[in-house]
This record gives sequence, C-alpha cells and structure tokens, in this order.
Amino acid sequence: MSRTCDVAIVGAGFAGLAAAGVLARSGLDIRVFDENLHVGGQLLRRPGGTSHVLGGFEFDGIKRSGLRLVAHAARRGVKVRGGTQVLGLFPGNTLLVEGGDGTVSEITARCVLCAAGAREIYLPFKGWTLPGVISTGSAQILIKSSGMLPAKETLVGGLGPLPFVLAREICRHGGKVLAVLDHAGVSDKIWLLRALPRNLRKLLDGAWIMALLTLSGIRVRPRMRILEAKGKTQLESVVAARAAGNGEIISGTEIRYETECLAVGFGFAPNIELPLQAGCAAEHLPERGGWVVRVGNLLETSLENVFAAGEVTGIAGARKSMIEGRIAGLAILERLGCPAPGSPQLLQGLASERRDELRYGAVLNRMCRLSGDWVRRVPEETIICRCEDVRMADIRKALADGFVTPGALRKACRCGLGNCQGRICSPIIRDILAAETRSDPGRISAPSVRPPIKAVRLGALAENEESIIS
Amino acid sequence: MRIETISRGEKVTLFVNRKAVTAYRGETVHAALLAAGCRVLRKSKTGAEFRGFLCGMGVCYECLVTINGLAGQRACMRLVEDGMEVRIDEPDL
Repeated sequence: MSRTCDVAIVGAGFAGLAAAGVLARSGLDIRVFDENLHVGGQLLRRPGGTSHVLGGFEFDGIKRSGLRLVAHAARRGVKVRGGTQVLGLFPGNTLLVEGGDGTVSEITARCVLCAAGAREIYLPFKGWTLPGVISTGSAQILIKSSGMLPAKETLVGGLGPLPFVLAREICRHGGKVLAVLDHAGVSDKIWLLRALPRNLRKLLDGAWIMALLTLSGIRVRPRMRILEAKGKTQLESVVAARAAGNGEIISGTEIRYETECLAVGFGFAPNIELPLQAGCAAEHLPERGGWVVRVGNLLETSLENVFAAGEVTGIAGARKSMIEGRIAGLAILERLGCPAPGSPQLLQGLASERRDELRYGAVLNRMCRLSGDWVRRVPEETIICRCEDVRMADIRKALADGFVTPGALRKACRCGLGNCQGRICSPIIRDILAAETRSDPGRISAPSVRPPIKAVRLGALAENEESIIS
Repeated sequence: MRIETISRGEKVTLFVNRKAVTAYRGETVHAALLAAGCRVLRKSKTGAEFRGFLCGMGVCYECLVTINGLAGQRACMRLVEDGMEVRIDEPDL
C-alpha cells in the first residue's frame, strides 16, 4: 500500500460511499476503509457469498439508493478495503491502519473523512448479560447477512422504530415473535406528527409495518419495562411490566415470557471515537442524538482537512448520511483545488435537503430520548461495564466517594477500560452520572479516547517499526 | 435457525471444540455457532458469569473465540472457511 493518498475515507456506509462517488470523478487517489467485510454499512447487509439482497428486488427506496451508491463507486474504480480497522488519526493526517491480514501500516492523506456510522444503545437490566440477550441490530444482521433467525421464538423490545422493523423481518422469514415490548407509550408517538408534512412516505412505511404486525397477530405492548432476564447459563425467561407515565412500574402488570432469545435496542450512539481521538471538537446536541462531531456547513471539523459525515454528525438515518457524504465530497474537492463543475449550486441544493433530514432526525431523536428513570431501578448486582464486570454497586460506591465524571469513574472502578473501550457502557454511564448527580446530560463530558481505538494484537503494532504509536 | 427459503453458498465443515459442524460459505462464524446451538461462548473477565453474542457488529467484543489457534477473535466479524478450527470456553457442545 502506498504511504500517501489524496483522500482517506473511514467507513464505507452511505456517507463514505456517497463521498467516494463524488471524489472519484476527479482522478484523485482515494482510499476507503471499513471494518466490515461487506460494503454498504449496516443497512445494506446481505448474505456474504452472494451479491444480491435477500428476496431479489429491493422494494425499499433508500436501500435501492444505497445499492446504486455501491454500483456507482465500483464503476468509478473506488476500492474499498474491507475487514480493515483504522486504529488512530494523528497530526499531519496520518492514519494507523490494521489490514485484513492483521498487519499494521500507516497512510497519510491530504484530507480525511470520518464516516464511521453509529452503534446501538443498551439499557442495563437484571440479567442483561445472559447469553441469549442480544441487540436488535444483531438479530437483523443474522437475518440479512447469514439468512439465520436468532431463535425459534424471539421476544423483541426497546425504543424507536428498529424493534418494529425487526419483528416484521422475523415474521417475514417464518420466525415467531412473542411480543414487541415498546419502551415508549402510544402518546409519545404524537411527536411523529411534527414530521408529517415532509416525511409522509417514511411515516406511511412505519404505519404499514405496524399494520403487518397486527395482521400477523403480534402483540405490541406500549410503555413496557424489562425487569429481569433469567436463566442458569443462558436466557430462559424474561419478566417485563408496564410503566406509568412517570416511569414508575405499575404493580400487578408483570408478564413472564419463556424464551431463549430477547432482542433489545434503545436507539443509536454516533461512533465518534476516531474524531475524538484525533482531537476534533465535539458537542452535545440532544436533537442530533447526543455527543456528535462539531461540523460547519461544509462538514469540516475543527481540525484542518478533517471532515465528518453521516451519523457521526447526528443520528438521522441513511438519507441524511448520503446527502452529507455528497456535501463532504464536494467540499473536499474544493479544498484540494479541483472543485466540481456547478459545485456552489449543488451544495446549495444539498444544504436544503440536509436541513430537511436533520429536522426529521430531530423528531426521531426526540422520540428515542430516554428519561433517566431506569437508573434508580437498576439492582446493585447488575453489571454495567460488561468487559470488566463492573456492577451498579461499584459505580454507586465510586459516585458516593466523589468520582463524579466519566474519567474519574473509569479510574475508580475500571468501567470502560475493557475490550470494547467503553463503546457499550459509556452512554449508560453518562445516563447514570446525570441521574445520580442530578445534572444535565449535556454537562457530562465526552469520553476521552486514546489510540489504538480498536483492539489490535500487540505483535502487529510492534512489527510496524516506524509506527507513530511506538 | 437457518431460513429455508434463502439460497446458500457451498457447504463447509468447521470444527468447534474439535467437533465437526456444517456451515455454508458466506455465513459468519457467529451464525454458524448459533446454528450449531452454541449461545454460550465464554466466561466473563472475572469468571463471574457466562457470556454470548450481543451486538453482532464488532463493537462489544463479547463473542471472542479462538480461531485457528489465534485467541480473541470476534466471531461476528469472520466468515466461515472450510476446515476452520474454532474453540469456545463453554464445554457443553
């Protein structure tokens, strides 16, 4: 691999591919890196051995757009390096990259685009670490990438649209869904009406899924809280109950489900580890889904020649990611002194499309905002940091001892110091800190991130003798 | 549980704790293990509890297994290969 390139794009989802498509026209040397083996991000997963999406023709308009992005980028000769982890971004725009073969190398780019997408948010409850409790995304990936149902019978729960989409997917492929336990109440969905005039199509899609679930006889239970997952070595049953408007559990509403699989998801957190490690400024914007990379109108970050696009600048879905990818592509062309023809007009149009998508995202993020009422219900023995086996009792004790920032808590009880580097527990810990110290979540600092930002073999780092990291 | 209506890649055999398991090219090690009934993969760091799959997308590192002798591999990020040797801590396969 040559040690320099014009543009390095981290993430081959909708944002990264859209940017690559714009940039490829100019004959620039572009590198696209993605940790996944497939191209197209989480939305375009498909069986590993084949080139088409499950079920042949793709009915979903946004997925069709995505497939066009993939085809377009391929036609223009964009090469995506799959199975490749970017471990860090250093001054001078040098990236430390672990290739699919496990070797580590460096590449310096004139411009870098961070487009690493988002991950799911989890809420801890008693027994959530039992094998058999999985994320909604995990279940979706099993179906889409490997043609596999997570279990014969699955209980689905959480917040936002994904649990419903998953329930529909399971039914469509002949699986059984025991129920959908919606964290939100029916009245919470009224917020969606705000998005109505401009997003009729998306809301109709949602209504269509709900109708199909009803027709399939699947019970959707609003305002449910998962109280406990039980089992000896793996999941055997789940207890859930209904909550009142103030979040208090209504006694007598407990329901027990016998199941070997519970799929849960509580919204999304942007993957901002790389820009944070590099030193990009971040900001807490509830309407964008929490801590995001701070960007200007051309998606430039606070670091020179580092751009960010897609979910890392705010959770709002694939269409916004695609629009931002195009904006970033055009902006990078300008920065490199080879602006695309008609660039100002194109950017103007994209800016207005982006505003629409951000507005839609704000409605969704409002709907998916969790109140901290779950924090006081978490029993002392519940694991909070799964990697390091840190329990709620350890966190409460550290808080009582005065460790009241994410960094101090990390030092006091090791939460966030394991293999996932806090990716699973840091949103949870931020909520716990906010609830237990009665402070605004926006005032709790973004986690500090150090390289390497993903787990890597020490031997691989050592073999890269001239590494900036060594 | 494999979805019957989906066409699959060619059959491959992997060895999970030395026991032969059939899978299909294109499936992740995660999917192949699940189809073979392995939900429990290892003990947690302090040995306090059992762990299995969680995120399925390379974020959580809960599905760490040993693949072809190399420890600490994420089962969800690897595709099956014929003859692949997978080791998990849970002995009851």
